[in-house]
Amino acid sequence: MKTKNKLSACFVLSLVFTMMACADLEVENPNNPDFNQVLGDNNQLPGVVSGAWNTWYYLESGPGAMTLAAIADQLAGSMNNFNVNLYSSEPGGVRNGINNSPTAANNEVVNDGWDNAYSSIAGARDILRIISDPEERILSGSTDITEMVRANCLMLLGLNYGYLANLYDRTFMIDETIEDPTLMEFPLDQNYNEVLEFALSKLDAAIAIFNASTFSIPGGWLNTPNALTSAQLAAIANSYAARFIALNARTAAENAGTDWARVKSYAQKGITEDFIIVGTGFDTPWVHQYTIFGTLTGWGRVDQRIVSLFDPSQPSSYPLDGTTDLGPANTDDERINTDFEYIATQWANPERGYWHFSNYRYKRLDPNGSSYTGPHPFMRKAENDLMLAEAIIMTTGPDATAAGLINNTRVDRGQLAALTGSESKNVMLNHLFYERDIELLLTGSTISFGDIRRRDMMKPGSPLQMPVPGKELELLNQPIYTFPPAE
Amino acid sequence: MLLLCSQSQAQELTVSGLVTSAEDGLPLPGVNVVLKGTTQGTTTDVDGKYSLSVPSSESTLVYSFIGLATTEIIVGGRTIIDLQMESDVTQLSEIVVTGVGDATSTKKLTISVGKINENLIEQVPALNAASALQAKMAGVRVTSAGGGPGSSPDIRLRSATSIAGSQAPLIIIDGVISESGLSSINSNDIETIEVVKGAASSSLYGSRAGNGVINIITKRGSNLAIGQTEVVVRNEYGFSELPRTIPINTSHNRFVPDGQTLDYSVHSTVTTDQIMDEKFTTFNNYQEDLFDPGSFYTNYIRVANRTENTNFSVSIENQQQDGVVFLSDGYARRTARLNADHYAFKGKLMVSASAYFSQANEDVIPTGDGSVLFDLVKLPPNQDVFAVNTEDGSPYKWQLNPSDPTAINPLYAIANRDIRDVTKRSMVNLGATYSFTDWLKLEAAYGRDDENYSRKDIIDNTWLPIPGSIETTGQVGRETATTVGETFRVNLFGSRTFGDFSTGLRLSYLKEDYEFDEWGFTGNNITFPGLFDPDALQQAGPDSNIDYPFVLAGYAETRRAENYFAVFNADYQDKYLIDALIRRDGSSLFGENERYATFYRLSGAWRISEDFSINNVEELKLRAAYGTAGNRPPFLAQYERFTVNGGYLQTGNKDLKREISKELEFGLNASFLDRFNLEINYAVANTEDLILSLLLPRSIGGGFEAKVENAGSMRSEVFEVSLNADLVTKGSFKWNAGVVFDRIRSKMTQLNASFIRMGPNPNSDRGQGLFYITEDNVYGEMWGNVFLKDFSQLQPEQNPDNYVHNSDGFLVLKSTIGTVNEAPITALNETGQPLYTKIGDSNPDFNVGFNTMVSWKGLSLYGVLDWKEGGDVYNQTKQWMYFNAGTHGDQDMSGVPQEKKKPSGYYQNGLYNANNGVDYFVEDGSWLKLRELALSYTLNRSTLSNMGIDFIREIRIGVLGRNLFMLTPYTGYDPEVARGSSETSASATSSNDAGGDASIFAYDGFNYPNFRTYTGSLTITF
Repeated sequence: MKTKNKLSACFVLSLVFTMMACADLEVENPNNPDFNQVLGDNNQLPGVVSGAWNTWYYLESGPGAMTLAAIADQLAGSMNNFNVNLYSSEPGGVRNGINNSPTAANNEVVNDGWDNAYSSIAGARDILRIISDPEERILSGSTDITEMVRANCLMLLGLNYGYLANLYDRTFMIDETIEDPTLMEFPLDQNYNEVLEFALSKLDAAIAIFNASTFSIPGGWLNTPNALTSAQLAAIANSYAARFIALNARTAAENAGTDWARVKSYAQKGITEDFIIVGTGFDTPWVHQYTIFGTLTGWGRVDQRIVSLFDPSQPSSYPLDGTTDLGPANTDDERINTDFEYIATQWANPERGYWHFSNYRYKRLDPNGSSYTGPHPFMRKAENDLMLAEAIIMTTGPDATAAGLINNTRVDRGQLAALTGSESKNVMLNHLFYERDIELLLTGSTISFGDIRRRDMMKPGSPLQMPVPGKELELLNQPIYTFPPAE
Repeated sequence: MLLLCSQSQAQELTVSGLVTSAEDGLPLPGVNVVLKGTTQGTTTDVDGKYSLSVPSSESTLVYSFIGLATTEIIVGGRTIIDLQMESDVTQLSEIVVTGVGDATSTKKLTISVGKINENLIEQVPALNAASALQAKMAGVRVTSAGGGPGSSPDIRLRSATSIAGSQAPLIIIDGVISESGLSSINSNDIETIEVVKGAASSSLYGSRAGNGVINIITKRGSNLAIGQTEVVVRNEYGFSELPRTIPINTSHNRFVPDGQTLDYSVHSTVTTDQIMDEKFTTFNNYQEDLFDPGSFYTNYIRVANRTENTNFSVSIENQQQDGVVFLSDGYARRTARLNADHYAFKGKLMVSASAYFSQANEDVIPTGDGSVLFDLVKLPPNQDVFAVNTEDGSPYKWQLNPSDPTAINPLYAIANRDIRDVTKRSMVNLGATYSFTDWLKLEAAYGRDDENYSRKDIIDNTWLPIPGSIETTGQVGRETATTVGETFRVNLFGSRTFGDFSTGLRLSYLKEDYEFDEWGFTGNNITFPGLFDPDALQQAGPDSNIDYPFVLAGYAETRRAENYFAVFNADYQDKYLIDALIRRDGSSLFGENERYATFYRLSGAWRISEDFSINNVEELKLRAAYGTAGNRPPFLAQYERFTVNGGYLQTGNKDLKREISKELEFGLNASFLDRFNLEINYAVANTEDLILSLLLPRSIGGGFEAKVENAGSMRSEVFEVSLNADLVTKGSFKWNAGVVFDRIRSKMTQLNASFIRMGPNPNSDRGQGLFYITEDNVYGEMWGNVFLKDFSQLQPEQNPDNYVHNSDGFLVLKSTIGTVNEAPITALNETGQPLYTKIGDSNPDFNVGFNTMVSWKGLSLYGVLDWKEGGDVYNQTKQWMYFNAGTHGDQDMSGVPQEKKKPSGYYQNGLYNANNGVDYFVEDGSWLKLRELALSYTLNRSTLSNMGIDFIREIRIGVLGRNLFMLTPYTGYDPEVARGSSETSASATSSNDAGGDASIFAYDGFNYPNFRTYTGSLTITF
């Protein structure tokens, strides 16, 4: 019996010691890479560039763009997703201003641009800091792609800061030369012109590298149908530079002071074909939400202001008397048939105000289907043409070249009478803005917003720019402010 | 150690005897007779007799039986010991095993350990083990945040001890650390639940026990008499229904020309006054269509047996809860359990095994924003949800409101989207205990908890072409997750008596391994209806422009820990008790510079009644304990994290430590007048190093969204009272009652950030939660805007002459009163922004639970009442209903006096407040609930014998109700509502909104409402 007891005790003890191996408490996170994995290995840097491009894509195609277009009376809708209803309603004839409270619901229009721009900037800046050491080279196979990566990062800084310069009143200008951004002071006395210049300097630096080299970036970086060449990237950078200058003005007075010669210079080197990015559908990295919510059945329609451009006999704002059908627009412009769809009934909830009513929806992008997959024009050649035309008109006055640039869409797509260049400056500009309003829908997120404010056409109470997001101000220990400013 | 094994064989003698009941003198079978300090023992047989060999005449025998006072007798050379056992009025002599070094009588506890026995659980067996605790113990808050069938309530013990993490206590089931909650644990198997609240009591469990510990012990065969076989067959059948619905607006304000009926797709004009007082000619409250009483049943069989050296208990349970949603199959669960113990070598070696398997199948009803429960209450109520679709003749016409493309007929959604969850779980514990002597034993055990979860979320390609829904081509979602938690434990127990001193020592080692692995897949474009394998999906769509992407997602965690601890306890003449413990935990979840953490406790008690005789007081004890316990960081917290495509998420923190709660507890236990049993606890806990995800400014923060730091402290005060009383015992008439009370206050005391926002909000953006925490706040404060009600709220720029009170008491613009533009206005702060201030507090003033049992002969009536006083609820469901089509009954102006009628914009543009938090939607969440009610009749053995039935020991017939009745000022389905941990994935640890706490985040956001259940039950024991 005693032996058995000992045996059983030994059994328990041996069990104990078998299992009592020392625990290894070092555990890796298999879900996310860390700094060393992402930025410590130069082979991984191209992936960061691709990610920064994708974040910038969200900046220009996210749902906040729908809200900007609604504020700019280009699109209309009564849904309050992204505060479309709130910020495009006009109780008592005055637009609701921006609620910049850190807890404001559905505030993508204020928050997303800022967050995405700085997320994209962070990746580009970190890479520029790494390769500012001449010893650090990035190889693709045996090819040194350091300069290609550098040019892309500079272009990303330019595109993001250009966006910030045109939408926000203030911006932290952070690039690879800033050692520790956390020590930066809040830019209280900054003018958005300074940010524009900062953005242009980055685009110029990128363009210089594109022009000095020949390469193609991987198609996956921007999900373009074909790999973009350095020449194509230079053209795209030039067109964006032109857009940023053209749209930087907050008022008509500022617009008169815009450096149109510089716009002309950039636009002359701009794109000669549409800049296309391929959408990959819901829940994927390349989804153009602006288009989805701007055109989908039940969601966005075209604002009555656009309809009245086609048919000046129609009011420029939808009547607030309970009218539900203004009838089809009477126009010679063929695009009313090819690009727009007349719908006699309303989707908008009348209880949320008649401001959101419209009888037209934009159908030009319908071939992409309801999930908006497939090639999507991200910047149209028409935009570059029209910027060049405007620059010509604003610097040397109307001429046949400017008329020809406007006619590219006016005649070819709209089948309207050609302009000759002998029209007055104002007539030419009206025709030009008509083209901008009708041709550039659902491309750049700030186009309609920028065009309306630089013509002083914003409805009373509308914001002319976005404040630094309230939730960012709160973290920066700055007072919350908004636009239009509180009285 | 082997030397120790061989010294204990001297002077063995055999003791035998008869154990009877003091109450009726009848023999008591199944009484445990154990040699004190060991696992060696026996039980009385069917005739109440026992026989046991003991090592010496100094040995002490411990006699215990549920409901009777445990008695200790020193053998003293006797060979026959007969005993009459008294009923345990005070329950003070119960044995507990949780939070203490070794099994300890409650009399000798220096800390507070709550215990619920089978007799309280079996009256109305809870649908799961968590619900069994509801309203039965002070300081235990059980919140059923989403009442869907199969959902497990959230449990919080005393105060919150974590902000970013969960408040879920550590759960141990038959020795196994549970890694997957309690929803799959059937309560018919439970013998006792022990609850250790607060850090002073839970220090033994170190860095896992900051939230306290719940220890569940299931039934074994060890309580039976030797040779006895017990068979229990229990069947319960009934139904569930929704107690109340949300009021729906029966009127509208659409202009409908004479002779026409309202059609939302045509009539897009509102009436001139915009007042919703035009009655719908057709009105359907869809809640009456969607909520449909469902059946409920449980079948349970348990067979247990005990022989001299072996006992076992096997059980199976089959439970079906249909829930209350039409077309839903609800929740079905099957469980099986085997518990077995075997003694060898004269009882020196005990081998013990517990195995549990469960499978739960759930037909999931999506809840929350945008779900069927959202559409249910915001669609205009003039449609027929049973109409057929014009497209294909299928039932439940999908489009009920052309103005709202996102809202589809909830019945269509439920009928055509099939979400099935299957959760399989197994828990195994294998242990061996060797008693070297009557004062030294070694225990080793291996425990394992496996869970395999899978979800199929399928929409066939017959889904109609709803705008914007990619599901038109069909959609298949698959998800699987496996969780494996393993523990290995070694405990060495020693106990010796030196004169008047009794001492105990435990040395322990605990090793933990945890693996979690999940992956998911979503694909579209089902080629053939009914074929849902990923293989059967096409990536290229019918239109060559369109690719239907397959979306894959995965997540994995590994956690390891090793812990060492020692517990020492001593007492002098059973009067003065002390207890000390120290624990050292190493965890892979701690930052690499802080891999180990230390916890400790020192506690003591004085049994005054042993020193002084006080009239009518049988027992009086004062306790004090100071101890620490903690919580481990979530898995991702310590790591620097980027997304794979270079996005920036979180900075890393190698210095991340455990959260630590330091609690000082004072307690009093008293038994008096032979019928009352009182426990009072007062505890103050300082929780430090709270793990918080702090947002970084996106601009100058280097692109990172957040950093995780030990960044805050919180102080909590807890006051608990429990009183149990045998009010009347007269012959066969007995009435006993218990009342539990608690009052809990928590406040932030330090925060290394100016603020944190937590919890749910309508648009779920990071850092926008309704709950606002600063260094001066109470955890649970809701912050938001307030509507103007008083002139004192106006800012100097706001001219008081322009404002006037309207009929609802709001201060509105004079120019708008009586017009379509009349609307409440939010107060502004001095910078002209909407004022952001405290609007509510979810912490109740106090909680009271009350249970009572009245029995007369075989008849008994049992009830549990749950009273929560105060504690606000944010009614987001109502807020959202104010906007969309104005469906809430509050907006129904038909029948309202003309001067009080308000236009629709009053609600949609005013009170709705653009869906931002505002005081108007904060409601008092007090409740009084009748949680459990049972009326039963028991035929006992003698009655049955008289009827000539010998083979049945007991028959019990009962009528049971759960959540039968509720009194509340709250206007939604139920103030017991929250959006917390159950709504967020375990892997979402990048923000503070991850874990969350259902007892804090009292937020009504289209949850599955709690329902009531009526059943009949029949239990037969053979």
